[in-house]
Amino acid sequence: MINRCQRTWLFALIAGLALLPGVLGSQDQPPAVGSPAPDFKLTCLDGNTHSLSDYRGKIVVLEWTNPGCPVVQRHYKDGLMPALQKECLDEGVVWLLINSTNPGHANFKPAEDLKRIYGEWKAAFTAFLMDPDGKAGKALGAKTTPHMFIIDKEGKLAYNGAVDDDPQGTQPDRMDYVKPAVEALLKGEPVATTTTKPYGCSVKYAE
Amino acid sequence: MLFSTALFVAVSNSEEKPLRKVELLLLESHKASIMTVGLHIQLAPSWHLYWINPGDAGLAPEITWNLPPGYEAGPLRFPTPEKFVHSDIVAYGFKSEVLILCEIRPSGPLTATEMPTIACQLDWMACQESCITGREAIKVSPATQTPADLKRSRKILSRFARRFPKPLDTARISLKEAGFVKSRNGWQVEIPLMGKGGGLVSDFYPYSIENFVVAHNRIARSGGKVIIPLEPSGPSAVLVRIDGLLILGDDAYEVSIPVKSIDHSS
Repeated sequence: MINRCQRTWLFALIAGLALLPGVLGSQDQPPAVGSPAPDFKLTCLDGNTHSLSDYRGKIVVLEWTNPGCPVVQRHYKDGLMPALQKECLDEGVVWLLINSTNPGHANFKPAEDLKRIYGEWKAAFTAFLMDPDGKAGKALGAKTTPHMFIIDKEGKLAYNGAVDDDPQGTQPDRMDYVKPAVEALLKGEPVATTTTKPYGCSVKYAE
Repeated sequence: MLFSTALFVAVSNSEEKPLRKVELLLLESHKASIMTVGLHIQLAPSWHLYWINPGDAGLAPEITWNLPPGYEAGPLRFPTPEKFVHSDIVAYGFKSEVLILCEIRPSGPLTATEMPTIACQLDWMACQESCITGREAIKVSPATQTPADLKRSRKILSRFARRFPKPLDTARISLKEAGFVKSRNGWQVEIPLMGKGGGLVSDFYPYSIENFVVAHNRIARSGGKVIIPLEPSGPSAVLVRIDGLLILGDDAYEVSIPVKSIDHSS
């Protein structure tokens, strides 16, 4: 039978072990802003494959998405995301939609459904890519839908975070983070805000 | 005068709705001046709602007060949340039920002697396997309270009494200043833990930090310190203080620690 003092030490030991690096949480780190973005090769809704490296020399926006997420739905139904997509595409920016929802999840949709839903939402994009095993999402550290990444012409991560500063969609003077970052890159200027906290539903990865 | 009461406003018993019941409770009042109200939310099984810092994903409940002229709302007080981890994504939230406290007080001298109706709008996100968002309008009118309301509100408050974070001075931990340093893995805040209770710290739940993004899945304890990896929003971001909850077993202690500022742009 252990006494009170022993119990205290035992609890402290367990608490300490639980917080040792590598014990609590993962030490896998996504790329930092300014470092090369990990390449991926994913299948598009039409069956073709696209690699991030295919677009070297262009500015690329990656938008993690899941049509079952109400935050994604709001951004499309309010017209905010389609307008941003169109503005970027008009500037010659590549826009890749990526869905990392695992096929066993209730939010998983087959390609035909995704084509219909995003067509009705008037989404504008270069390609809609499927990442069912979540490898591309985890390599970049995609955590939410939506979660935005901007890759510069050299293939380096230039922005990682939210689409704007209005998680609930209630702010009359919302600040867009993606457009200023893209505009700075187009002008060859440094991006002022490189990292923000993304918000929305968690990416529905398989365990 | 001290009393407690409740007004039930929105109810749904549907299994499909994540929020089964949302109500605003009047928990404490001193004549027509300071009032403590509690937003009590009951969740359907398997659903969770988020803390004031939802973590990597999710949305914190957003409360917009609709107060009579001459009154203002203080900061929200949340109970200690649970930590949910799925595929390296860390979220903080509540299952079953949550009580969010807020103090409503006059912003200047009052002429009225009767306590006014307090109303608010709640924007929420609840998740289980999938997520749902919604909005509720709720209010509490002190004039309509009954002794039964009083009894029920006290019972709810007492159920949560032990779940709110405690002041640090009861934890036998001493905290002075945190460091903001750059390691080979990037920027991190280091909180030195001193005192007998320091060895019992099992976790740290940070409040949101303006202009910084915390890597919640890499919060750790090492060498008598809590390590909080984070990323600045840009070269002009400055960190002067870190706030959050030190977790010791089932107890949580609210801390606000000055951070030794280091120019991280160099």
